Amino acid sequence: MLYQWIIRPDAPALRIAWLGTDRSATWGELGHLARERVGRLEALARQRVGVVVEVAADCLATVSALDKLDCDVFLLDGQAGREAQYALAAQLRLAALVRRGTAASDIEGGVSVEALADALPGSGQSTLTILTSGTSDKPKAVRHTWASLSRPVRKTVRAEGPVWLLSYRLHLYAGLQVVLQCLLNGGTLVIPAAGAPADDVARLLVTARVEFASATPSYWRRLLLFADPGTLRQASLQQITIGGEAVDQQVLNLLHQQFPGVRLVHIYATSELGRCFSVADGKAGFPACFLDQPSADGVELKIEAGELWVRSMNAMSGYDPLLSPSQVSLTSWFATGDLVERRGDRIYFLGRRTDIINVGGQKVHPLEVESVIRAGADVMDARVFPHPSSIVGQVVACEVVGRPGSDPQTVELGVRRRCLANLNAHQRPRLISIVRRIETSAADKVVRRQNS
Amino acid sequence: MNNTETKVIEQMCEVFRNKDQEPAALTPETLVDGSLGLESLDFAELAIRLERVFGRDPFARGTIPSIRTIADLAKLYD
Repeated sequence: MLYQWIIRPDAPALRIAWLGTDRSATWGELGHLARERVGRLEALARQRVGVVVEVAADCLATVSALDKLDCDVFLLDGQAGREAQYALAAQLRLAALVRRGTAASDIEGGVSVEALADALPGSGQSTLTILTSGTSDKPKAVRHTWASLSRPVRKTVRAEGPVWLLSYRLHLYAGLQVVLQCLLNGGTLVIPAAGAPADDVARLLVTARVEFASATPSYWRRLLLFADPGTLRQASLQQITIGGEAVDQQVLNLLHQQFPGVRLVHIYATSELGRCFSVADGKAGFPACFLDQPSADGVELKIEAGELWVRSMNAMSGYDPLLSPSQVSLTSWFATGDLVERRGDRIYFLGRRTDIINVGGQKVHPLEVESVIRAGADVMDARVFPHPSSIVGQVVACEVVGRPGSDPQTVELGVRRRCLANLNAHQRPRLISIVRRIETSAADKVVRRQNS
Repeated sequence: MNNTETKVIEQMCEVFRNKDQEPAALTPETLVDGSLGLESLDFAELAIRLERVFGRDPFARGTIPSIRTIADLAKLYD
């Protein structure tokens, strides 16, 4: 299906498919390349093939060629080391690893194909498997089809294709969603270089005339904290999408302040369940009425024992059993691992079940503590996580980023006072560090596990 | 008052300040019991702070040694 979309004859030849900081390619060129690669990769037809994904347009051409060849495609993180890639490939019993060639251009380089031993036969049908680490260190292999991946994509009726900023990793669900959103609407993808400083991203928003930008709350906070506000003011964004981790009220407020008039949408999606729902009213959490009936998309929500459960038409086909021995039936309800709380007519996220801090037997939700910390006007960002204690098991610790120009001692005092006033003894952070930035994972998400 | 006792008292004052409280004057003879005004979580916090200062955690083995005074506590870190 991806192959058909990329090579469709009516794709405008001049529409830029891909705009890196210094490279570009049109959908037409990508289509041409995909056709070429079908020939080049023919020997891999109907096999399990790993594609090492880098931030480059021709990776899309490779993936679409393999789609045409009915391969079971596995997306590997190009930023992970070769050892990690080989280890995964061996675990998954792939027939081959396909990497980019070495040319700098997106289009001119070839591909290198490395055959592997001990492969399992392919399913015979085109599938796409996302390798996700989720909140634990062991990756899960989440299998989709291009049909299930494209189901949530909104097609707009516009003469001009939309210009989308892609910040998400290409080999993960959110990144693929943005690519498809762009492709199926004949738009342009604007992709900053990996690890680009916030100021570069801000400038790119302006020079590439980005209209739609999608990123995690952590990514947005980093942009707001480190990019020049003057540059950001020149951006002509129409819509900001936020997702991938819990969206708090503070980041929504900060974005609204910096980008007044821009539509703010936060999306709840997981690799397994696909896109579940979106909220565009400027408030954290989601309306309780979402629980009452399936969405137009065919997604149902319910809360059981404080956890959000979802049954989704956008869901995966299943896990690849080689990485996840437990099978899940996706026609039934799926526990998301996200704990929620109903307050009036709204449902709020308390945090991941796995992020619960256990203080002397009492459970503490990091996000609850974070929202108290974030309520200070001089606080830009915060992270709450457990610190081991030989006496009570764990205590709550936090890192806090003050607004530029703030005095660290004043910020810390404010945090302590707010926590004393609003949290009980178990919830109060016992260790407070004022830091310059919050470290995030490779997928731009906050890690709230215990510091090692 | 020896160096260890001074440091222990310093860290205890930090724990009190974290609760927005000023402790009564602390000496090595001060009793470490309910009258001191520190709860179990405060002690957990103190133990972490002292571990950072002294590089050791005498509570790590799981048994809480019996302590009567601040001087007793300081001896654990000598």
